[in-house]
Amino acid sequence: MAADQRELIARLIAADEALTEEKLPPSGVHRIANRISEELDGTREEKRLRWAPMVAFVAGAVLVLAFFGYTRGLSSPGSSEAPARVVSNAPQPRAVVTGPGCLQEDDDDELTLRGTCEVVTHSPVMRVQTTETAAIRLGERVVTLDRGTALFDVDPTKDDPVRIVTPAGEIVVVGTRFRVATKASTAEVDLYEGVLEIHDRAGRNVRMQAGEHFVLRTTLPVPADAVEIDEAVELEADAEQPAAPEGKASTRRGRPEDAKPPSASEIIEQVRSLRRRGQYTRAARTLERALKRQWPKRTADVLSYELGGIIARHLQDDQRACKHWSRHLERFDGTRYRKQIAASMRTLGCGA
Amino acid sequence: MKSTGTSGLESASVPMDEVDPRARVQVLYRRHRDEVYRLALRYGKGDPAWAEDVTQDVFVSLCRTIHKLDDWDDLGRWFYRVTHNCCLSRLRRNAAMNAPGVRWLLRRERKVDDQRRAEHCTGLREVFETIDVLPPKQRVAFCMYYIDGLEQQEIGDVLGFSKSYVCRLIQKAKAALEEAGWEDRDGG
Repeated sequence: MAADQRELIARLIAADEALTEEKLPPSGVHRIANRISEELDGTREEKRLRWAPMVAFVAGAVLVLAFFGYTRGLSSPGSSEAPARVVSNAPQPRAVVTGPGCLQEDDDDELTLRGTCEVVTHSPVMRVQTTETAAIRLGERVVTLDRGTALFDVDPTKDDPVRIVTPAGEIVVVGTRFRVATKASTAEVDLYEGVLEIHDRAGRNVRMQAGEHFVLRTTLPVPADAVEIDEAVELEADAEQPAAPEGKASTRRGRPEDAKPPSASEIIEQVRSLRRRGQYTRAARTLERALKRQWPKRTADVLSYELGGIIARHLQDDQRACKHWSRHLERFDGTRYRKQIAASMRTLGCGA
Repeated sequence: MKSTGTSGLESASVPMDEVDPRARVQVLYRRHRDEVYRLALRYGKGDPAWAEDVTQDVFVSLCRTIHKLDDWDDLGRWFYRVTHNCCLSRLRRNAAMNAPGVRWLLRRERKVDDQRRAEHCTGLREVFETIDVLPPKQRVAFCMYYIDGLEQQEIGDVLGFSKSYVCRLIQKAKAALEEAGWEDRDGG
């Protein structure tokens, strides 16, 4: 039955007025009075158990932390996802080797890694990544790279720096990220971040800055200055040219014949480094030389687009940029950068 | 049980400013207990035990905050506010305990003591039963607005809500009552 809400409110008010006659029953009066007395005397149980919620909270927090600790332990690298997890037997520092498809042989103090591997040590905190066969020995703050290529990522330490020993010399790590490629008589170092000190066998020291490339040799005199990374790229791009004769220039400009040309991602990284330093001409030259090599179409598309961007935006050579974009569109039909290139060509006034 | 405490509470009659906290509580208890009890009966649908529990909660709160209270002559507003908040807390707790999932977990039947209520307040329960369809907050806001005649801002001050939230609560309460068969012929 539907009724007016006003009627309901009137009935509620009437019922509420009827309550004005109500009084707390005598039994209730005494019960509450006793309760108040207990409260004022401080004899109630709640007074003494004020710590109980705190204990419950702490217990809950401990449980939550334990739960997260347990789940993190389960999901930590190498526990379930990476079947190749092996704890190295190397004495110091303790190392964990992970990586999909990573094969490792742990022979007393030498660790031979095959495939894409990552070695993590905790003291010192260091990550070593390898993509090819590499042999390393982990000592106390000394890592020996007997052969192969490895990318090192080491936490900053000033007092007791980590040392990387290669057959050609020693690298003192001041906290950095760098790649070392060890050959029979050389060790090539590419420094991406931080600072390195190189100590060669002849007793000379070189301090490397980020973005520099250095070649350590056992038999030949070692240059006192580091070679910049773009120059190394030039050498790699000119791989068809005959190798420089062993001697004065080979340490600086020479490149071992078995050295692998840089990958596309390495080139991009080098170009980024050059762009950060404002060396746009060198960046463009690096890309032009790289584009002379055979690449998959998508990779070549990316490199060519990078080059076009540098010409158009940084070198501001409109004519050359227009020409490059036209060639790019012809060469890469269906390029993923069609819109950006069209916009750039409009801005440059190509064909006007 | 302390009989001395009880007799002390019953016999206190000393001016408020000159007495110790215990005596102050005693005086305030005698002065405000029926008023608190009546308000609690409203929200307890006439259940005396429920209202007694709320009254006890209110005076226990008083004991815990007696040293913070300043204006001894105008504590009616404090009691009004604390009683409403105690009622609201208890209604919400009851609603939570009567949720089907909780009852299933605790293996409890819905607690309805109709007979005892009926003995005490026949008819009263029926009237307040009509607003039992409302959730606790809406019920309290609705009663304060329509029965006590408070402004939305005042209700917000008492319950610790914003004015706009109180407005929404009242609108929702009206809509829920309309859905339950009570038409709003005023349109507002």
